[in-house]
Amino acid sequence: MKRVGIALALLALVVLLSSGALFLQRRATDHLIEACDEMITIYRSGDTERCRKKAEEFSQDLEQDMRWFPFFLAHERMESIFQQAGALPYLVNDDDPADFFAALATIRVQLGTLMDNEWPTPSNIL
Amino acid sequence: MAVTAIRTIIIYAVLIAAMRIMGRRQLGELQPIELVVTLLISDLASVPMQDSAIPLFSGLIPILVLVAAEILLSAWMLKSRTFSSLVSGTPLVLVHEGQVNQAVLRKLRMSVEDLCECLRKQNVFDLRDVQTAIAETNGTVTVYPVAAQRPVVLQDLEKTPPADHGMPLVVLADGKACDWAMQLCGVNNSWIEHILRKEQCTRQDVMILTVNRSKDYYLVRRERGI
Repeated sequence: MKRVGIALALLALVVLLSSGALFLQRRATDHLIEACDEMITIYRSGDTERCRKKAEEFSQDLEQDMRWFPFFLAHERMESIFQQAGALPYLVNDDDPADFFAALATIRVQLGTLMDNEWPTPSNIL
Repeated sequence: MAVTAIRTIIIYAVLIAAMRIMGRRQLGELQPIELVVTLLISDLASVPMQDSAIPLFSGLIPILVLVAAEILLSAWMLKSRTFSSLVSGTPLVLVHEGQVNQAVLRKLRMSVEDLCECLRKQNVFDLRDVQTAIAETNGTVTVYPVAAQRPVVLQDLEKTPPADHGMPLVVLADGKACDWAMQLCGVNNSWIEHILRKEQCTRQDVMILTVNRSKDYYLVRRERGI
């Protein structure tokens, strides 16, 4: 019976860790996607300087929000997002926003995919 | 490199703990369910050990789930004979009353050569010497020889067995006492001290001290310099 208790405790621990990881990930990706949308809004309002500052802060937000991710996600899945985020401040351009919007769109999609792939849905499991 | 080394130590410790939690059955003859778990766990453990880009939890979480599942499944198998036979199967009689059960051999995809090999491993070299042979669920074959081939015991000779002094057990090894063995033999620390005084040595001088229920003891001293 002692071992059965240990087994149930282990399963409870796994459920707790999995739920915690999903919760952290959801919170982080929602916050970062909001930040991406905010940057688009600021840029469209014409304030490129503020947009550049926001882009610089975005890298720091990324590091802060995703600091727990390496515990449960492979590092290479996050590398691309960090690389794109690092280039963002330099893509903010008064003349041509295409590269900036493309980078933001890529980051949004990658964050969304990162989140979607972790949900215990039948398609993810199979 | 340092990351890999530390991960290896962590995973090693977790695996030892996992084997201990799952119990001694894992270390003896493996049932199919236990073999599956052992193979999976060893494979899962090696992945985060070799690749530091993969989170440690990617290896540890599946191991914890497998350990928990194995324990719960074993507990369920204890309660339910139906489930137990579904998972582990049932022992099958290969030879009965000297007759080879050919249908069972076919079912087990076992050739006659395989059967003879299993018998030879049990020191049986003639099929006619086999009363009953059973294929156990862990793949081993147990053999019950015919009466004429069984080892003689005192009961067969209608002799009175000698007094039973009990099994000799190690009560002191490398200077350290073994409580469960002392309890089985009915001795205690005072008795050990008495023997040590009689032999004019200390606990640290003793490599091994065995004793049985009749207090018949055997002491081996540690060699100097070892």
